[in-house]
Amino acid sequence: MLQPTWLVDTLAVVMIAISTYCVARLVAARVWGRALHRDINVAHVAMGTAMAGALVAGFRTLPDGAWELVFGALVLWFGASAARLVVRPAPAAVDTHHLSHNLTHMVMAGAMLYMFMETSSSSVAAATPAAAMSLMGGARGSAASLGGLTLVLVFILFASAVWHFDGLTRYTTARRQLAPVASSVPAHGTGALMATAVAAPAGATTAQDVTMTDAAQAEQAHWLAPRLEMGCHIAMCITMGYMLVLLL
Amino acid sequence: MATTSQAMGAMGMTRRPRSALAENWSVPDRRRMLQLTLATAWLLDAVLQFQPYMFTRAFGNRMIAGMAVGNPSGLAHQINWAARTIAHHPAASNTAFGLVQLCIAFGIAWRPTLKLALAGSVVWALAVWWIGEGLGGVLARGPSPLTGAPGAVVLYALLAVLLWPRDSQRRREPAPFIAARPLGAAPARAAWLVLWASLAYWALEGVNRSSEGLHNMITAMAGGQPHWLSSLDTSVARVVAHRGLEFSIALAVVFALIAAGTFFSVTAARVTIVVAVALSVIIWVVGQNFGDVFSGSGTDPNSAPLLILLAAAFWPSPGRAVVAPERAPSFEPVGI
Repeated sequence: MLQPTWLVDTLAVVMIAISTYCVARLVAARVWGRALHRDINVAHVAMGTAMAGALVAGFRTLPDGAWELVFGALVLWFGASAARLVVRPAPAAVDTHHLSHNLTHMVMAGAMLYMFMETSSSSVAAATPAAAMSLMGGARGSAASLGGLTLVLVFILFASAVWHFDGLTRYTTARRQLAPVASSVPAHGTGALMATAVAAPAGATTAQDVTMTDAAQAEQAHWLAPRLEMGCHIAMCITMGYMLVLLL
Repeated sequence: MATTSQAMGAMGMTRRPRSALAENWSVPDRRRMLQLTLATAWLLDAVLQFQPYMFTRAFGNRMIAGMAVGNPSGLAHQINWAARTIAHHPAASNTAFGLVQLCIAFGIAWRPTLKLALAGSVVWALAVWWIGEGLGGVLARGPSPLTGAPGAVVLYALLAVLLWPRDSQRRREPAPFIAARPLGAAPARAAWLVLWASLAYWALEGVNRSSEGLHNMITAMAGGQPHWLSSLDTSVARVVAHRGLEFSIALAVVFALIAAGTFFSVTAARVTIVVAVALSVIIWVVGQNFGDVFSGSGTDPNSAPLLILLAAAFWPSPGRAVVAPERAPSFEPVGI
C-alpha cells in the first residue's frame, strides 16, 4: 500500500526548497557578517536533502550508509553542545534557549538516523525508504522494530512544530512596527525601515541617508528573518513526523 | 559622525529594539501549554489521516461503515451514507479531512486564530463524533471505556471548551484549576463528574461485565499489533479471563472515585488526578493499544491521552492559576 504520489512529491519539493534556502542563508550570513546558528542550518540542509531523497528516488544523493554517518555525527555534535551548556551554564535565558535547540536537533538527527537504520535493515525492497516504510507498515502491522520509540519521536517532533508555530507570533515584522512612524517620513523606501540597530555610515545625517542605509539592512534582515528559519524547522518536523508515522 | 539612532531621533523617531520582538508577546502560561498540547494532538490526528490506508476505499467502506454496526437504524443509515460518499471519493475526502485537522492544529498554535480554531474544532469534533465514530458507540450495546467510549473526538470538543481563552468574570478568587477559568469551577467539575461517572456506568454495562467480556475484548485487540504489544495483550487477557465481572466492578469503583475527585480537598484531588492519569496510561496501552496506530489504520491516539490532558487541566493550583503570564525574556533572535 503506497502513499499518494502527489503528497510525497510535494513534501520532497518542500524539503529541497528548504535545503536550498538554508544553504543560501549560511552563505548570506557569512557575506553580510550577521549572526546565525550555523550548526542548526547545516543540520537543516542535511535533513532536508536526506528526506527529499528518502521520499523521491530522483532526489537521492548519498547512499543510506553515508547518511547514517552524517546523522550519527550530528547527534554527537548536538549532544555535546547540549552537554557543554549544562556543564558551563551561560546566563539563564540564553542557556535555556540554546539548550532546547540543541536537544531538539539532537532528537531530529536521531530520528533521521533511526529511519535510515530501520529501512536499510529491512528486507522489503522498494524504490525509496519512504516507500519501504509504507510497504512494511501495510504488510505486517508495524514496520518499526521499536514502535514505542517511533511514537515518542513523532510526539516530540510535533510538539516542537507546534511550539515553534506559537513562537512565530513572538516576532513582529519591523515594517509593521514602524509603520505609524515611517509613514510620516517623506523619503523613499520608508516602509522598509527595519528594527535593526547599526551604526549609520559617516556623514549620514539626513533622513534620506538613514533610510537608504536601513533599507539595505532591512533587505538582509528579511532574508535572514528568524521566522523563516522557524518555518523551515516546522515544515521539517512535520515531514519527518509523517515519515515516522509511515514506519508505525 | 551620526549614528542611525541620532539621525532617527532628529526625525522624531524612536529606535526600535534590534530583536523586533512583539511587545505584547508573553511566555506561554499553564493554560497555553495545555492548548499547545491539544494542538499537538490535532497535528498527530492530521498526519495519521494522511496514511496510505486512508486514501483507499477501505477507509469509507470498512472503517466508517463499521461504525454503523450496533447503532440505531436512523444513525446507522446516516453513517452508511457518509461511508459510501467517502468511499466514492477517497482521495479528495481524505485530503479534506486531513487539511481541516491541520488547520485546527495550527489555528490553535497561532495566537491570533486561537478562538476561531477552538470553535472550529468543537464543530468538527461533534460532526466526526456523529458520523465518524457513531456517537462513540454510546447508543450501541455495551460501549467500553477501555476501547475509547464515549469517543476520543468528543473529548477534543470538551477540551476546547475548558481551555477557551477567557476568564470567568463572576468570580473574584483565583480559579482552583485551569479548566475552571472560562466557565467557573462548578460547570467544569460537573463536566468532569458526568464524564467519569459515565465511564463507571459503561464499565458495568452489557457485555462488559460478563465473565469473558474483558478477555475477549483485549484478545481481539492483539491482532495486527507488533509482537511486544500483542504479547502484552495476551498476558493481560489471560489474567482477566473468567474474572470479567470482578475487574469490571473494580474499574467502575475507580472511575467513580475519580469522578468525585475534584470535589475533595486539594491533596485528595491531586491524588485522584494522579490515579486518573495512571489509569489512563494503563488503558491506553492495554485497552486501546496506543489508539491502534501501529496497525497503519489508526486515525487518532484514542481517548486515553485526552483523558490525561483533561486531568492536567483539573490539577488543583490554588492561588496561581490566574497569575498573569510573565514577559518573554529578551535574547538575540538569530534563528532557532
